[in-house]
Amino acid sequence: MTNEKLDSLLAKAGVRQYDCYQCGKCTGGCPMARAMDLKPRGVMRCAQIGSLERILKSNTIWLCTGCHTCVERCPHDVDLPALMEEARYLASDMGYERRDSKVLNEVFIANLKMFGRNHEMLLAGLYNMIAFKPLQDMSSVPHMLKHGLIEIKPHETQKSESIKKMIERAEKLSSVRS
Amino acid sequence: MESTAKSYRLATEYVMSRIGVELVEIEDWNCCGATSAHTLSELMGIALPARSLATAELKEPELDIVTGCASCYARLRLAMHKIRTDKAAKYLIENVIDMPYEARREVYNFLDVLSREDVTEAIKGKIKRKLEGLKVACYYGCLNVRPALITGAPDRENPQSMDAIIALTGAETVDWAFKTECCGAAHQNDAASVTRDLSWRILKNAQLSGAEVIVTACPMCNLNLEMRQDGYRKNTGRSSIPVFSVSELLAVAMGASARHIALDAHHVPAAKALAAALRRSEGGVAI
Amino acid sequence: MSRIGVFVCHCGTNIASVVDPDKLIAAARELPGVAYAADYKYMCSEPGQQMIKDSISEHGLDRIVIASCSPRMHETTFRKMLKNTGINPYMLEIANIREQCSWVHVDKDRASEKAVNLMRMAVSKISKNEPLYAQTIPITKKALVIGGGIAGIQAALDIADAGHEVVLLERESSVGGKMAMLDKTFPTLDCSACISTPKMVDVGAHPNITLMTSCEVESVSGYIGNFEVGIKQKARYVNHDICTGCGLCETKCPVKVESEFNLGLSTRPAIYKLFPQAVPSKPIIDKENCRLLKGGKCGICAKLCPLGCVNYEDEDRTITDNFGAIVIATGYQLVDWPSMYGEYGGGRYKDILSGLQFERTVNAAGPTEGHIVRPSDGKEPETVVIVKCVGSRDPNKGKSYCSRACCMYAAKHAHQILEKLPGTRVFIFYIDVRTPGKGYEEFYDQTRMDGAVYVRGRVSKIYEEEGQLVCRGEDSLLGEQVSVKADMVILETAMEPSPGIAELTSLLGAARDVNNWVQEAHPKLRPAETQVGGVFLAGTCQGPKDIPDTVAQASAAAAKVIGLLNKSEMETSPMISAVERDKCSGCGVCVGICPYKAVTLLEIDDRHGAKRIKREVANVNSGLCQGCGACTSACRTGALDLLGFRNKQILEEVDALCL
Repeated sequence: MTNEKLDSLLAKAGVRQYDCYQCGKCTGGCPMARAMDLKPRGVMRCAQIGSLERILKSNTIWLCTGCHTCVERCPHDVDLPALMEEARYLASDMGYERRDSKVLNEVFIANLKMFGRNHEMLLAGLYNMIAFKPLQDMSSVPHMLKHGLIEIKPHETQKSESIKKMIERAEKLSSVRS
Repeated sequence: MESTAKSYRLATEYVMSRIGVELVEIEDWNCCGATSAHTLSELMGIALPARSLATAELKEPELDIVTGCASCYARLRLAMHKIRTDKAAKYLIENVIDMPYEARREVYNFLDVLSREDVTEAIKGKIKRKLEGLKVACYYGCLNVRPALITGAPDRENPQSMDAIIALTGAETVDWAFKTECCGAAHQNDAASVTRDLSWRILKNAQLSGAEVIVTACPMCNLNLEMRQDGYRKNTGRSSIPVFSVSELLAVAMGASARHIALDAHHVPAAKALAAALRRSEGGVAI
Repeated sequence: MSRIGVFVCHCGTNIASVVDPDKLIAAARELPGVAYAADYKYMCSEPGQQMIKDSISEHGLDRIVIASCSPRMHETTFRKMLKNTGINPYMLEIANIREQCSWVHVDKDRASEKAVNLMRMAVSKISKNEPLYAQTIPITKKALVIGGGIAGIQAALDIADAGHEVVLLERESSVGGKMAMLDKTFPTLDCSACISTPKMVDVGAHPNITLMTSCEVESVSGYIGNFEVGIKQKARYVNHDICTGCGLCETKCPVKVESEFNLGLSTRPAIYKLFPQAVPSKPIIDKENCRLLKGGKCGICAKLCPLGCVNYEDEDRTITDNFGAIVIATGYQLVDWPSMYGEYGGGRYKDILSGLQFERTVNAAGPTEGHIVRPSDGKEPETVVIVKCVGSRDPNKGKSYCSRACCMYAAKHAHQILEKLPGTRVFIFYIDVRTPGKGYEEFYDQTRMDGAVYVRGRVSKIYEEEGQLVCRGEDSLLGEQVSVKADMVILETAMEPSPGIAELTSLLGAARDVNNWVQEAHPKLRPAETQVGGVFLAGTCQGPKDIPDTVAQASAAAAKVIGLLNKSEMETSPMISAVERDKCSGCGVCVGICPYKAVTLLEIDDRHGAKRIKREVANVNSGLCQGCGACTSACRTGALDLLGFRNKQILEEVDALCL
């Protein structure tokens, strides 16, 4: 059962788990590895031994920045970022989402639904509020307001309503795909 | 590039008008969704950039697309690539964005445009004063060069295009090791402590390699490297290092004043390094 | 009516567990022309062969079909068996019911049915077989060894010691190859120069060996026993007949260029000996860098030479010679890692050395006289990182194969550092440690006990910071990122074939594998031969290997050459193309299609009605033809036919299966 899910996840990502021979070059160069509870090589190891659960419950898939350093240097061209992305979708469906990421991403998309563009102050402010990090980066705010680097009033696209609908269509179709 | 990237925007407009390149803003463009959209849904991550591209194709069918942001570049280019190579995805995306999109034109990043032979020649002709001896570390970031399949960048570890552009200003680019190391900007909100360390080690390597300033080609990289330098000074005991966009140095070398490019909007005091370089140059001009 | 004997082999259970021999025997007995049919457990064994021989005399058989393994396996065995029975060895057909049947099928009934069909085809074909007779060709008793590294040196010495003439050809100005560059050899740590220079001197002095340095193969024609090879002798600008090798000429040369032998770690003049122990111990002028030869003013070396050896007018010459056998021993080079690994600095950092550069550094005769110091500032390193598998086991950036020797010389490098600079910290990043060789595992153990720290993981990035090289990777046994600040890094890089191997093998007609290594005729049973008769191989031109394996293979190739040259003439395979001149229109399509240059057009006297005319017809050289059959299928008039596989024989087989 688990392996069927794993196989389909790997197929979607275009990753063959046995291509990996566990050299660790991915982990060695990963900018976020330090904070990951399962290192990139460990993700491949779990894929090899069929432990999908550990992958989905790891913070790794949420911390991956998609910088592609791992696959760039991988001797066997294993597309870990693609695997991480597919794992995120599956984890979301199964309710394993990392709280901080969930908050940020939902605030971000809510932002887009409202304005079609990203309102930086609102994004950071809302995120900090919901994630209980009220002071994060707040020291920079006065400077930014003074020099017009952030504004109170958001820039709206003219058709932000159409973008909102579009995002909703994409959300609907995405939930169908898995 | 309207808010936090104010200097980048002003300088880019300045440079482009000087060399006679007209930039047309895509009408009613929307955010590409950055990391959040494709984290939530693959389809949304492609549909958002595809909508802007489709609008451009509709309104300005003869124009290529250029973006000054590495993350937008990666997302836009991926959307272009997907439309060109995946028929099923194309059908789905066109349905979601409710517009046709054929991906006829190319998506470039700002460095690609500046590196074009005719543009380089035009820049050369407009350089008025040299940033003599200013030691610059060119920071490319990840998504301007990776993944290779999407960007087609020839060298992902030690790229040279920005170095060649900066050399036109008379500044001296340093050989350093973190040109394409990820700064973690995508997680500057939700994993701030890790991202902070990532940007710090980039700053440190630039300084140890002799750089006085860092130059970027992306507002996200720029913000992430620049915004948290108070902590950098306190924790490492090092001095802070100004971070500019590639356009700003070009603009200054073309004669732009501090006001032209909102030089005082920088988080890290930036005028001093430029002023020193301009003083060193022939005739000793002021910013 | 022919009298065919059919023999079915069980091959133990290899065949009999899937194919039912009884069904084959029963079917065979029904076939026209079959006078006898029998089965046996091992047909190739002594009693099996005796059984066939007995049946031949008992039943008056005149042709034999054996249903057994692939003809590649035992066709020769059974041909030899027929030699003393009065039946021509080519009145034999093998039906392959093992590799092409029992080994690849599981359904016993259908497999047996297929085996019956294969056997029926063989029986049909053999009804049209005719006796064939091998021709003999004379053999030139002289061998050419291409490449003067340890493989070529060993092969040349072995052949010469057996009493045959050898030409040893080397592209550089001295023999010695890579082994001459090494310091010590694993696992015994004997000095590489001490064991290889005496052999170099031997090849220089051996009465049966002609040493040709600064030479390259330009053309090859002919065939086994009778090769004609054009050799380019590159201009040396120094008359080696007179030169005593005193070395005076080198002392005042104003030019300084990177030394190839020291891999850029030192410089040399434009008139130079490759290295002090060079054989021949005589200099040449490097025309690319000589001030005078480049059109400038100089001529100092000519003025200094007391014997007048320097000749700036020297030119390349071509020499042609005949050989009975050729040994390819062209060796390897290390991959150009800077162009492959941007993440290791792409060659920007001076203190990252390749393994071979480290060999020069630690070698007493090298640029630092054996002192292990950093190229950048001449300081002794306190921490050294050794990275294995750089370019090896990396299909994405380098080579997919393992370069075999690196694990051992990485251990040796660590040992040498710890021996010469006690207290140095040595880290070896590895993926796997491979030590299959006599005394190898013990050597690895010793290196760990010496204090080398093995870290399991491939280094992801190396960069310079504060005068040190930071190596970032994963300690995959710990599952954590590690970062080592080193003063010197040694990259143990992959081997790849020497440049020019593609051109050389094309001239010889020898095949290369996917990685450009020279292909051996059989990976297990003919490891020292190529598919081209009379062309052998030795050493790393065939694939990565260490010195013991190289020397063993060189001696094996030499034994093959000696075996060939000991005969005064040799038999050629009679299964080659034959021309029916009456049918041949002389169109010449076959000439171009033959991969072995075996077909030429020959002018013959003929009659056209009452008129005498001259016309061209195809002619097959029996020494060159390998019996591939390409010409026979290209021939428009059907004048060419492959003996042993004539069109009518093939059609019989087709009929047996389809009618």
